[in-house]
This record gives sequence, C-alpha cells and structure tokens, in this order.
Amino acid sequence: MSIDIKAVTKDYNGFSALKAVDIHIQNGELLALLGPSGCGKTTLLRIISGLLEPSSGEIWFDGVDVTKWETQKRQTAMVFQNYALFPHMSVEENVGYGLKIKRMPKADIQKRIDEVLEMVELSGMNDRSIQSLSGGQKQRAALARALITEPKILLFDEPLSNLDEKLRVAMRQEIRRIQQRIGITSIYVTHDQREAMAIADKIAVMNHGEILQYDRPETVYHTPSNAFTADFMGHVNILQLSHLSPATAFYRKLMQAHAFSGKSHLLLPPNEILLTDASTAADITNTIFATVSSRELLGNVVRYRLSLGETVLYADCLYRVSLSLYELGQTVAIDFSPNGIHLF
Amino acid sequence: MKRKLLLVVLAISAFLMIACGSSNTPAEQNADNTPANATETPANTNETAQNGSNITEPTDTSQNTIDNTSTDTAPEAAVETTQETVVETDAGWHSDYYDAEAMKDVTLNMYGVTDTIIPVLEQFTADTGIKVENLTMQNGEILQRLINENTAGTPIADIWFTGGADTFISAAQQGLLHAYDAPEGAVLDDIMKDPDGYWYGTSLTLVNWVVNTALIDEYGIRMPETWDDLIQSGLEGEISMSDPASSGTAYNTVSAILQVRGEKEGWMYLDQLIGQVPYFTARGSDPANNVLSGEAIVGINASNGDRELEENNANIKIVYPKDGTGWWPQPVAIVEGTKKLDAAKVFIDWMISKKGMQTLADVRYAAVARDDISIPDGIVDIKDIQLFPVDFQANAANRESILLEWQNHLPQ
Amino acid sequence: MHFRTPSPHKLIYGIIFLFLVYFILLPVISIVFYGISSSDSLFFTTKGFQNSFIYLRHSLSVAIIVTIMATVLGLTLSFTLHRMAFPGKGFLRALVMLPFINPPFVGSIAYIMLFGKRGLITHRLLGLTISPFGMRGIATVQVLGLTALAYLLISSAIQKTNVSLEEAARTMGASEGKVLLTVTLPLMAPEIAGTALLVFLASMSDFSTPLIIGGSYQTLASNLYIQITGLYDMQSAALSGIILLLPCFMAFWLHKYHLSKRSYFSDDTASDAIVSKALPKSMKAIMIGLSALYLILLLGQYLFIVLGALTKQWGYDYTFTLAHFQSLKGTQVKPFINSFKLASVTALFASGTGVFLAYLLKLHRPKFATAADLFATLPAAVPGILFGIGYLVTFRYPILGVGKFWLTPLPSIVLLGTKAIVYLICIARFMNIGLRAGYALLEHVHPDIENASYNLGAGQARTFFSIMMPQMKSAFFASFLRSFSDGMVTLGAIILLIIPSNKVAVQQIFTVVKSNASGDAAAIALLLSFMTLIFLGFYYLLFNFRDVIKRLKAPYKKEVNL
Repeated sequence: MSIDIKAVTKDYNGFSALKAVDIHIQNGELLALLGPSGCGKTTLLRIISGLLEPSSGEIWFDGVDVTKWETQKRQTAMVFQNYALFPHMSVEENVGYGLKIKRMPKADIQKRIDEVLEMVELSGMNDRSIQSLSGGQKQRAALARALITEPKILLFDEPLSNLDEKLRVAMRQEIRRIQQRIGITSIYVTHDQREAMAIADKIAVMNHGEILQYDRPETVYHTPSNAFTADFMGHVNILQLSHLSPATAFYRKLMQAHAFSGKSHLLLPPNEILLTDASTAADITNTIFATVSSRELLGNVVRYRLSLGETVLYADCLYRVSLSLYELGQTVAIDFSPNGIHLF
Repeated sequence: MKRKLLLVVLAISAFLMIACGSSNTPAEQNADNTPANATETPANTNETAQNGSNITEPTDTSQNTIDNTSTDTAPEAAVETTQETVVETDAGWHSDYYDAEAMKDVTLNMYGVTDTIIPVLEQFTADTGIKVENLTMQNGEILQRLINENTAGTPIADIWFTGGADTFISAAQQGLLHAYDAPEGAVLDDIMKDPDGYWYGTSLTLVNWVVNTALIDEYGIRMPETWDDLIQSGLEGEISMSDPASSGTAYNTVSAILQVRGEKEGWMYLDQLIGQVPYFTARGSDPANNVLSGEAIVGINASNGDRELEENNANIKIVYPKDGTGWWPQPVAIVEGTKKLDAAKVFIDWMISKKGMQTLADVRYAAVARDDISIPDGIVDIKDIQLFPVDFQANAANRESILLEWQNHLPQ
Repeated sequence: MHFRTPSPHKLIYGIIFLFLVYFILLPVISIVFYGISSSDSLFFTTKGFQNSFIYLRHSLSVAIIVTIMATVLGLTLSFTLHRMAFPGKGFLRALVMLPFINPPFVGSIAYIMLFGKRGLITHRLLGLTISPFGMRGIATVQVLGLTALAYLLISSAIQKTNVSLEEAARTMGASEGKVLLTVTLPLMAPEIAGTALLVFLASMSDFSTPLIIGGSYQTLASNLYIQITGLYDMQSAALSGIILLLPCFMAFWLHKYHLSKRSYFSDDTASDAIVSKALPKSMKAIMIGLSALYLILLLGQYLFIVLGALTKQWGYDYTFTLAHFQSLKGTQVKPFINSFKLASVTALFASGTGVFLAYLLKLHRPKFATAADLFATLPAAVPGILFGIGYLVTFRYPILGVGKFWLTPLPSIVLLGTKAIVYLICIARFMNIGLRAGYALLEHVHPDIENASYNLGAGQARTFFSIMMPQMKSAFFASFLRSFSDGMVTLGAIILLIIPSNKVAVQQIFTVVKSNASGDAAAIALLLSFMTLIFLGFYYLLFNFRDVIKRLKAPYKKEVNL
C-alpha cells in the first residue's frame, strides 16, 4: 500500500510540532523517520496511524483520503517503544488480540498465532506471561502481535531503543527480513542513523517538525542537503565556506575542484583524507600542512584531530600493527581527492 | 533536615503534653480505688464514699437524715459561716457546701441531652464562679458511658442534668449516682424526686405535638386538640412518632394512654394511631424534624418549654393535648465517684433553689418543679394542662410486656 | 534482597508493632468477647437474631447498590474529567472533592428538603408526594458522598495507566468500547476493586445517614447506634457488631488476597493530556450526562445547604438572616479548635507512622511483617462506632486489666476518660491511609536507592533523613491531607469516648441536627467545611512552601508541554 502525506501540520497550543510535511511512500517500501527527540517523527507516525488527528493536511492510502478515518479502520499495526504488551494477558492472548477483535473463528486464530510465533521465533511460548519474557522476546511478541492481523502498513515507534546494542543489531535484521518477506509498507521511527541506514529503503531526516531530506540512505549519507542532516548522519568534517580563509593552500585546492557559488557548506569525510609526514613534502606552497592536536583509537581506525589554522578537520587512517602513529603537535601534510568532497 | 527534625520533636512533645495532661487525672484518682469498688451496688454507695480517701465529705449517716445541718459534724460543715448563708439566701439560693474561694477554679463536667440549657449553666457560673462543661449525648449513650466509666473507676462527668427520668432511675438502681439529701429537696413534690435523693426533678418534660400549620391549612385538616383528633381522616401517614422501644417520649405516651384509657380501650386507640404513622422513628427528636421538613403534619414530641421551635419557624405550632398528656420530670443528679463532690452538691442546691428554677423558667420557658417562682409570660402553665397520672415505677416494671404487645399491634 | 536494618528502625518497628497490637487488635478482639459474654442479651432471643439478619440484609443491599453506583459514577467522572477535553475541567475536578470536607448529616437533611414528601423539587416543582425515607434515600445520599472517594482513587489510577497499551489495541482495530472493556478496565481492575472495597466498607459503617433518612429501613450500623442510645443495650450492639464485621472482613480478605495481587502501572506515562477523541457519540453523551447529573446534584445540595444557613427557616422562609451564625458564639468556638487540634495531631502521627511502616515493611521485611500489615489495615474494615465500642470496653480497665492484678502498688493508667484515647483511636484508624500512600509510592522507589546511599558512605540516620524521607514526603503529605479532612468530620469512632472538656465540632452538628435546628446545623457545617478547606490550603502551602515561593518569584516563566 502506498502512502501519501500531503502538507500535514500539527499544532499544540501555538507550538507547531509538524510544519507542512509532504512524503510519498511506495508500496512495500520501508521508510525510516530519522531525527532527534522532539523533532516530530513520532507525531507524524501517530498521525499516519490515526491515533492523532493532523491540524491540517491529508493522509492518503493507495489513492484514498483516510485523514478522517479512525485508527481502527486504517489497518495499520504499530510496534511500540515500550512494547505495549497487555500485562493482563499471556503471550498467546496478546498476539491473538487483533484477530479476536475481528471475531475470527477460534481454530483459525490458533493457527495464525502459531504461524506468527514461529515467524518471530517464539514458538512454544504461547502460555508464558508477559512479565516472564526477556526484552528481546517481548519485542518479538510485540512484532508478532502487529503482524498477525496482516496489516497493510507496519509502524515502528523506536522499537529497539530499550534493547542492548547486540540484540538491537540482531533484531533490526530480523525486522528487515520479515518486512521483506511479507513486502509490507513500513515506517520506522528512530534516532539512530546507523539503524536507519541498515534497515530502510528511504530515509526522511526530520528536525523541528520539518523534513530536511528525504532520499535513499546512501544518498542521504553521501550527499546531505543541509548541515543538520550531515551532522545527524554522523559526519564530522562539516565546514562553513564563509569561515574558510582564502589565503590557504587548503582553500586553493578546494577552489580548483568546485565552484562555490550558491553553496554554503562543505563535507569532507575523514576517510577521504590522506596523511603524510610533512618532512617528505616537495611542493611547499601547494602542500596543505596541519598540526595533530589529538588522537583517538577507534578499533580498526585511528582518528586524528588536525588544526589548519582556525579550521579543524578530522582524518581517519586504517589502523594496522605496522602503522607508525603521528604524535601530538607533529606537523603533517594532508591530501584528498576532489571527488570525495560534497558541497551543499 | 534540621527543620524536619525539629518538627518531629515538636510534634512528639505536643502529643505527649496532650496525652499526659489529661491522663494523670484518672491515674491519681484511680490510685486509691481497689478493683472491688468498680462493681458496687447502690446499697454500698456510702461505704465507697468512706473508702475513697480522697473524698472528704460528711460521714455517710448524714445522707439519710433530712435535717442536714443539725447532724453534720464533719469538719467541712464547720468551715461555713453564717454570714455567707445570709448573703446567699438573699441571692435566692443557698448551699452548705459552697466555698467561693476554693471553688472559683473548679470546672464541673456535665452530661446531658441538650445544649439549650447552656444559658442556665452560665447563670450558675455567674452566681458561683464554678464553670460547667456540658457534653451532649443521647440518654442511652450517657447511661452506657456512666456504666463503663464506673467500671473503669474513672467517672468523667461530675453531674448529670437533662434527660429522661427513666435513665436516671435506671442509673440509680445500678449505683451510678450519688445520693444527696438536698435541703431544698423538701420543697419538691414526692413524684418530682427520688426518695433516696439520687436525683431531683427540675422541670417537667411534657409530651406535646409539633404541628405544621401551613400543611394543616393546605389540606383543610382540623387543628388537633385532643388525642382523638390525631386519628381523624386526612392525617393518614402524616403523623410522625418515635419507636417506643428506643424512645422515652413514645414509650411514655403509649404507657400513659394505656393507663388512662385502660388496656382494652387503650390498645384500640393505639391501633388506630399506629395506622396513621408511616414508620416509627428511632429517636424521640425525629418527629419534630419530620414536621419541620414537611414529611409529616403532626409529630409527637416532648419538650421542656423549648419555644425556639415556634419562634424560629413561622409555620410550626406546639400543641398540648387538651385531654391530658404524658410527662416526666427532667432530673439533675450527682455522678457516683466524682472528685468534685462539694461543687456538685452546690450545683444541685443551686439548680433546685428558687434562683435556679427561676432561671430555668425565664430562660427555657420550662414548667418548673417549684411553685414558688414567678411565672414569666408565655410559659406553659401546667395548671392549664391536664397531666396524665404517671406511675414511673409501674412504667419501668411493665416496659417489657408493653413493648412486646406493641410489637404484636404493628402491621406485619 | 537483603538490607541492613538500622537498629533505631528495629526499635521503632517494635514500638509500632506494640501499638498495633494494643490499640487495634485488642479492641477488635474485645468487641467479640464483650458481645458473646452476654448470655442474657436480647440478641439471643429468636426475635433478636431475626432482626439482626434483617438489618444485615438492609446493610448489604444498600452497600452493594451504593458500591456499584458510586464506583461506576466515580469511573465515569474520572474518564470525563481526565480523558475528555472541555473548558472548566479544573473547577469541576475541585467540585467533585466537596464531600470530603463536609459532615454527612446536613446532606441528609438537604436531601429530605429537596426530594422529600414536601420537598422543593419533588413536591413544589414536580408535584409529587413521595417519601424520601428508606433505601432509596440512604443510597442516594451515600452515593452522592462516596462517589467523591471513588473518583479520587480511580482518577489517580487513570493517570497512571499506560496509554500506549490502549493505542496498541486501537491500531489493531479494537473499537473504543472494546478498548475500554478489554484493555483499560482490566488494567485498572486492581484499583477498581480497591475502590469498591473502600466504598463498600464506608457504606457498611455509615450510621448517621440511615439514622436520619432510613425511616423504618435501618441498617446494622445505625441499629447498633440505636441499640446503645435507645435500648441501652451495648452488649447486643456488640453482638450485631460482630455480624457487621463478618461481611466487612470477608470483603477485605477477598480484596487483599485475590484481587489486589497484580498491579500494572508503568510510571513513564503522563496521560493527563490524553484525550479520547474517538469515543462513540452515544457513549460520550452518556458519560457527560451522568457526570453532569452528579455534579448538578452535588452542587445543588451544597448551594441548598448554604441557603439553609443563610435564611430564616430552611425550606420554608427564605428571608436572609445571619442569625444561625450568631447563635454560634462564645463557648461554642472551643469545639472547633478541638476539632482542628485532633485532626492535625492525629493526621501527623497517623501519616508519619503509616508511611514509615510502609517503608519498613516494604524495604526491610522485618519479622511479623504480614501481621503488622494486617493489623494496620484492619481498622479500614471495622466500622467506626464499633471500633469505639471496642475502645470503650477495653480501655476502661487499667493497662489491659492486667495491671489490676499484677501491679497493684503502681498507679495504673486508665485511658478511658482522657483526651489521649480520642487521639489514639484516630491515629489507629487513620494509619492505614498513610500505609497505603506509602506502599503506592514505594512501588516506584527502587530498593537499591538505600544501598546506594550506604555505598557512598552515608550513615544510617543520614540515609534515612536525606534519602528516604524526601522520597516518602509526598506520600506523607497526601496521607496527611486525607487524614486531616477525615479527622475533621469523624464521629462514629469517638462519639462514645469524647469528654466534656474536649468536645469536637462534628458532635455539635450532630447534636444540633437532633435538636430540630437545621438552619443552625447548616451554619455550623458550613463553618466547619470552610475551616477544613482553609486549613487544608494552609497545610498544602506549608508542604509545598518552596514550590510556591519559586512560582511567586518567577510568575512569567511558561513551559511548553508536549
């Protein structure tokens, strides 16, 4: 089922939580709504599910205006951050709830429950109480409960944020696997950009109630359209062009490769920067020199903090046993390929 | 944190003060009381008075003699001067036990059934300097509390004033009252006092009808004047009466009717009366309330003057039945075991003195037990009201059989 | 879990435990012994026995009807006032609390004057002539009063419910009605059951309402009072008291061991802003209609009481007068002061002890914890007047009666006839309010918090005063305010124990009601309500002193809430 969000806004007593949001989601796509807390992503999710009413704008499902529809009619299923499993029911009762509401025959319900529990790898846990489940199991049960009604749209509201790192990675793969298998249109709210990139077909980056960028994960990552997105996607070397001094070798190198007109920011990923010992530099005028101001070991990568006069850049080098590290205060020469630069 | 600690400490000390301040009184008092005293009978009351070392009163022989002053050889009687007596006689009251200096800080605790006599108590305080704290309860509550406080050996009340004579009689039989042969008691009719001096009647509690005149007019009903008027048609379901089992007013009415009309006629009349009453209220005060709120047109009530009902409520009239009505004395008594025996005796002396009765008549418009006072305007003159002859002893003796019969006459 | 229990804690626990045994368990046992020791009691006649069961039937009929109605109304009001959006909600929420500060008798009189045979509404307005007495009257007045209690308990439960559970059900296609029936209500079941229990017990033990408007329909509690006051037979009263205790204990036990086992609250939801928009129109209409009806009745009743206090003859002559207030002068001020003292001191001790006991029982699990919990909550199941009888027959003897035989040379202390006994019975009665508040609060306090403090090197006293006390403060305050307002209007428990020098205002009202001066009664009642309100406000300010000062200093700071 495709979803069209048309100029949706939401106001709370003069505060706009959403400012004219437009998105088109294709059938079977998984869209990640990415943004910091308070950016409006959960509000948008609730408006799509029908739990909230927009202040203005429309929601269309498959070309039908559903803005006025109750949540019950929309056939969406939601997976909540705190699982929202009914504590007064067993696993099986929780999972079967949606079908019971639909008055499906008991035997059919039982069959579906078993199928779905198997899908989320909870077979045999039917009669367990919710309190006795682990965090990961609760999340699976919540997913099973959402899937069983065969909804047209799956909505995830930061479903993995209560789990630990390892379980989170495993669960997001699981969610992606199941989503792909059923081919269900899904919207996934998260504040974790890696989770969004790992799971989504498209990412919509949100801040202050607005969609700042809406595109495929790699596009959003490599070519962010604004400083906020760049920062939120985890980039560290985001430079404001107006702050660069034109008299430097660094500036000249940038000018050779790109036209600055109409652009305000520059993105230079740390792994695009090549470091060499300053003493080996031949062409002194065109070499870009920098001083190492700090050093951080991040597993397979060493990250240097470099000072180029006023400008600060980070550079990553792959860490190997044979690699000799630069010391603090040491002057180094840097270089990069013009293609690695993104201006916006 | 300090502030909180301080608060806690303050609170604890406050509580201790309250607890100790009040608990040492009975503690002291009980110290000399052996447990055996707790369950005494009226017969050995005098012994108790002797045993209780803290009670310094004339020897018990004085209680049975009528002429108090002549036989009183106790030291306390000697304290009194003739001078005082003269002054006090002019004031309209006198008590052999009165000592203005010693009693100016005394507070008497009193049990009673009404707060309306507070102005009378205030006059007493003005005359004697003795303060009175009145705690209002129901007759039965007072009796129960007296029984239990007597068992505990910690009588709280010193005196008991207002209420039904039957509770006083019952209390006297159970040894809860202290007999005092008040000199002024001789003035009262025999029926107005206990032969042994356990209680004295002050005023007459008269059975009457509280009538809602507005409803009488609205429904075109004849204003009731005699008991037979209560069973006229139009008053069906409009008469409010209390349950004789739980209300002295109703029991007195029933037994008076039976005594006056005789068993057969009496029950025939009562059957008709029962037919007029929608239900029998638990308390004697309920019928008047029902008439006030319009739930009934006529309520069978009992009062001691108590003209407020008429004064404050334009549509209410108190009617005394022309063909006679029930009555009983409203007694005053000393509670057995009181530590303030002398002050309590002063209270009795004052209450039944000319001054006390005059105050009662003036303030409450009550028909009082003495006939040597000037009757204020608007008072019920008992000479105009035909009183049913009442035999209180017979009342008490027949109570169970009458109540049993009453049950049989109620619609099932 | 194991905790170090500081020795002062153990000592205090010992003292509290002794208090519970001596001032709660003993009086209750005494009632039973006192009752059955009377072999010649009227109760043992067939008639007496039959009557008791008639009264029991009346009590149960009223209590069950009132419980159902008050709980349903309380639920409806809670949902209407907390889940629907309309202006003036704050005012209405305050209005619902009115019955908490008013003594019940005057409400009964107002009811008779409004809905009686010649009532203003039933007779003058609608031309009906129906008797207000009987079960309908009792039930109506009790429902009017007890719905406030139900509302208070249920609305706090509603605020704690996890809203995403309801949303989950909604997204799965459950209609609003279904959501309510399969999710919201089952989740609140323990709280609803608790509410129903308290309403049931309050109805069972209310003696004044049936007394005033029961007519011939008296209940066990009111009959108990009549047996003492009219029939002078306290032993029979104690016996019917035992019959009254049975259903109370049963309900109590049923609740404690079967219904309140699980609690489903999460503490991460602030659902006050949640509005159920999608309720079916019919359901919404019914809820708003019921709430409005209740509020109008309540407000009408109160305005009518105000009218009664300010007019010449309540229900007949509506000329304005202040005479009813003028009749209250001089000596009659003292009972008000006594009421205030009684309510304040007992609320302080009952709440302090109750909350502290909750802390001890929950976090330190001392010996006999189950027994302590049971004893402390027992008074909730014992009607006040019966508890008063228990005190009367227990504490008339010096030190338990034991001192009588063993300690003859020592001066023995008899509690009966002292001011202290009234304070003690109130503390014993109200302690369970503090205990419950403490339990509710400690649900959200992790036991490790105390260990964390020890771990950081804080001593036992310091840990208690600087860590645990601030945590439990809010429970103490809540319990204090409840106990205070209860203490101002309590009568049943103390009616047989008060002494002349320590009269309280409620008893005055009760007396005035009896002496056919309903206007005066309305005036005193109003004054007492007003005083209670003022002091509740005063204590509220006192407890929230810092917040208030902060707010006064920064009046223009506004927060945006999402």
